[in-house]
Amino acid sequence: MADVVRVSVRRGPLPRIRTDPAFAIALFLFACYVVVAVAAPVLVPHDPNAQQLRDILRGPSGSHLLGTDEYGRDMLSRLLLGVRSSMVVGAVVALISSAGGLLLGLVSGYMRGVVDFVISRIVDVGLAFPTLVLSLALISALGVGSTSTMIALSLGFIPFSARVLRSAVLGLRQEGFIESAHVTGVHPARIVVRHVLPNLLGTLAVQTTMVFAYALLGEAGLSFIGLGVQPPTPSLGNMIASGQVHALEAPGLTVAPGLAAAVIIMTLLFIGDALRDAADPLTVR
Amino acid sequence: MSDPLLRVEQVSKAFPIRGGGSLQALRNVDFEINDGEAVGLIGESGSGKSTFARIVVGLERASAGRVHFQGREIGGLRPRRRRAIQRDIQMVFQDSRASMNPRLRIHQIVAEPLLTHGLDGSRRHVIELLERVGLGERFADLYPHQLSGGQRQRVAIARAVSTKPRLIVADEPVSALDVSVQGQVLNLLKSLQEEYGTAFLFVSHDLGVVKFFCDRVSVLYLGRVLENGVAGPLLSSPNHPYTRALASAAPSVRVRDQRQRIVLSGELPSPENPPSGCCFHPRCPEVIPDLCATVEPGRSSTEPGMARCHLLTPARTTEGAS
Amino acid sequence: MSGVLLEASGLSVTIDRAGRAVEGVNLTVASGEMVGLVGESGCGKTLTAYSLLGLLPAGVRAAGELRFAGSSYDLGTPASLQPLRGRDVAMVSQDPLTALNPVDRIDRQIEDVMRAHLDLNRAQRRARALDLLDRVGIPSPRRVARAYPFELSGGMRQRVLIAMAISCGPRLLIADEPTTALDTTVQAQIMELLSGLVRDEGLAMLLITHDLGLVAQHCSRVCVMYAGEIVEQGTVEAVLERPRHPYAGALIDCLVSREVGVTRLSTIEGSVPEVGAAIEGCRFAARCRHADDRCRATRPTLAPAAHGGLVACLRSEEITLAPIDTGEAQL
Repeated sequence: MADVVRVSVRRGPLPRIRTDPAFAIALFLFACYVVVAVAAPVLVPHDPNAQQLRDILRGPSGSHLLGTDEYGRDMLSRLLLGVRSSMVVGAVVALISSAGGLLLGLVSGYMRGVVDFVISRIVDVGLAFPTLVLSLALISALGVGSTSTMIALSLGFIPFSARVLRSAVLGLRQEGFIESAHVTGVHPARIVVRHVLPNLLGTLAVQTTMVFAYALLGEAGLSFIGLGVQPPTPSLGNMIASGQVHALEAPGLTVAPGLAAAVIIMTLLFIGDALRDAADPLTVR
Repeated sequence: MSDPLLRVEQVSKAFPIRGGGSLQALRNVDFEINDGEAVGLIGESGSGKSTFARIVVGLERASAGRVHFQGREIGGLRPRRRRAIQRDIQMVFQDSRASMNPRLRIHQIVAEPLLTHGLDGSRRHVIELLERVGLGERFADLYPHQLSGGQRQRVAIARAVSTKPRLIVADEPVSALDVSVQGQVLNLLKSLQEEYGTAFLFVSHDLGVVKFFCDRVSVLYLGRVLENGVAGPLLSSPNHPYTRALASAAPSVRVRDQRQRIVLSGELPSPENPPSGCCFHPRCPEVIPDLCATVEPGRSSTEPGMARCHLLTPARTTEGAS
Repeated sequence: MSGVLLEASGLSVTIDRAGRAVEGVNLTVASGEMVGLVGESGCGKTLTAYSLLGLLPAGVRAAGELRFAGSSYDLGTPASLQPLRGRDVAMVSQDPLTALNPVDRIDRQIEDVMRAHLDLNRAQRRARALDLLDRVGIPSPRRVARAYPFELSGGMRQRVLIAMAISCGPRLLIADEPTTALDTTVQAQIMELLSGLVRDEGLAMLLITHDLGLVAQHCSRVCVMYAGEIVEQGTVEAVLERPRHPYAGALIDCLVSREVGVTRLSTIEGSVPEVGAAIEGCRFAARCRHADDRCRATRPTLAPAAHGGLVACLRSEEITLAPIDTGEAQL
């Protein structure tokens, strides 16, 4: 069926993504979260830490669109800032672990031999522990807080990215155009920059998006048990944690941050999947 | 007599296989290419012909033996020295699409060898090269996937000749193309060869193509050279039973083909445990019982070159005559 | 012609968003003959074959009528062809590795085909599978029956596929490039086997191939396709020795020039037009050295030719194509 395949492949995968309404919605949602993360301090209607003890656990009203929490703080303001701190943690973790994973993956996949062996075994050890357990151990060494959360989660996710990127590099090494560059006499460093890296970008984008989602989840988990972002700074995780005490009388306190977290995580996973589908025909050819 | 351009002596290549043991892809292969000469390497899949090509261009290392290029041993060179030599040894791959980075434009692809070796990689020069292979400037800014198979193979050829190499290794350069386009590409290669005096190692399974393009030819079977010699006479009247079978198996377009067709039984045995004696004996229609299965035949000189077959050893010939 | 088993008429295939890939193909195959459907990549020969089986992928639609052994079928509704598939018409595909299920043993895969179409019990199926493996020239059927596809060589796998194809006693075999993935010496074996089925068992066979050599050696009739249309058809002797269509002539020339030793090979300049390309007149005109203004304006249709077959060329009567027997290639 070569005749048929050729016709459909020629159109390329990206236009399909551009015209896919579900993908457009996901991108729009992601953009909203980014805007909130960047502009939250300006967007907030109230001081998120201003306590109004007369107005605790109020439902939605004209002045407090999402009501107030157990200290009478404005929920909407806290939610916006909570999204901001969670997004920052997620983005930083995604970037650091992708960069680290890329470096390890490239070195390990391209140099092979002893270097590959050593890196791969370290990565295996990293993968053997659940990321959250690994992060817990790291936080107990580094102390609680937002910065330690980022460091711990980044280190926890590096093995995943390294493993994925290493296998992508190994695949690329077999490609004819890499061999062709070797035969031509191109310096290996230049081969990596010119031929390997550009063809890794698809995989890297997918991996970064996925880690972003899982890092958000990880942050929420760590903050929920009190090891992540420390109150009074809001984050989606610690808001859910503090809200659950009042889950019966004011369910909005947990539902709102929970929903906010669920939506961004699902959005990211969806984008990641779509990117993977788009990247596949290119890497496989 | 001057040194040949490429002299391969007693090269062997074994690949370790999982669970121990090894796969003997090449065994004691001798091979020479003189300056400006096109030499064909014929074999079926599993014969080791691609492995041999990869050793010559440096993508694989021989397990044993020596590879001399312009009188110099290049098998064990340090990477830096070896890369410099690649200016004079270029390659054309079978799968032109895979051999080009999908994210680079045609002019960048053709310029790469030039820039690598400090030559003129300007757009003007690249376009001259593209024009030389029958493609115009309009191709310069396209991506590889926008070209047809034949056009891409022309780009691959432009890239290979860009540094004016002394040797081009072409691994099945036309077998992925349609017959009508194969002719275009082969004619182009031939005219470039005549123009630049480039030597070719031409790997192919297609005897017709080799007969057209090559001056000499070696026939590889299970990693051993069974026969070699001047292409025309060797392919029209082969001395080795295997070459004879290969030549007769290629279907002719002549409906009333007078040749007797030899259909070999069985398939290429696994290179993991090659047959004893003559490696071709289990499939040979003219096998001499006892002898071929136990004794490996030596070289017998033939009209076009040499062949390794007991049928050709003097003892047999006199016996046959008496 | 008597004994016509399959007759497809007005067969066309359309690819969504690309256009017409096959147009107005009429094809007949009789029992006991091997018909070659030959052309270069992109000419639509594979689509033609798949449409006869109702096996086109999504987004590709066929139209036309099929008569098989006296009954009529609509090529536009693939479901209507289902009763034919596997039972009366079987297929041997190009890639024997992907056509076999990697995790099932060979005997099981052959027996599965029989279970779908034949009323046999387990023991009968088993016996028949071994018998089939033996018939397709597999040296130790019992061992191969218990093997997995990856344990077999390419030639063995193709033999297994042929055994599966003939397991339910089909009357027509469609072989799509059955030897392209194989080595020359193995190709010869497989072609012997297929020819034997036609010669000795009266099977009808449609051989889809790009290799005119295979057609010359094994087929009795041939249809030459170019850009989705049949441009010449007739007996193998007629078409290959006295081609009347410039494309067929040029294609033969390409091959002959290699056999006779020349300084430059014959070629056909340019390349096949893309699917759906809007071309007025003859689709080959752009590459044809004999084309004139008339050819570029009027589309030729198949008409009886001097050699007894059909040819679609306006200038067929006026032009001279080098006869193949002289051994001289046009340069």
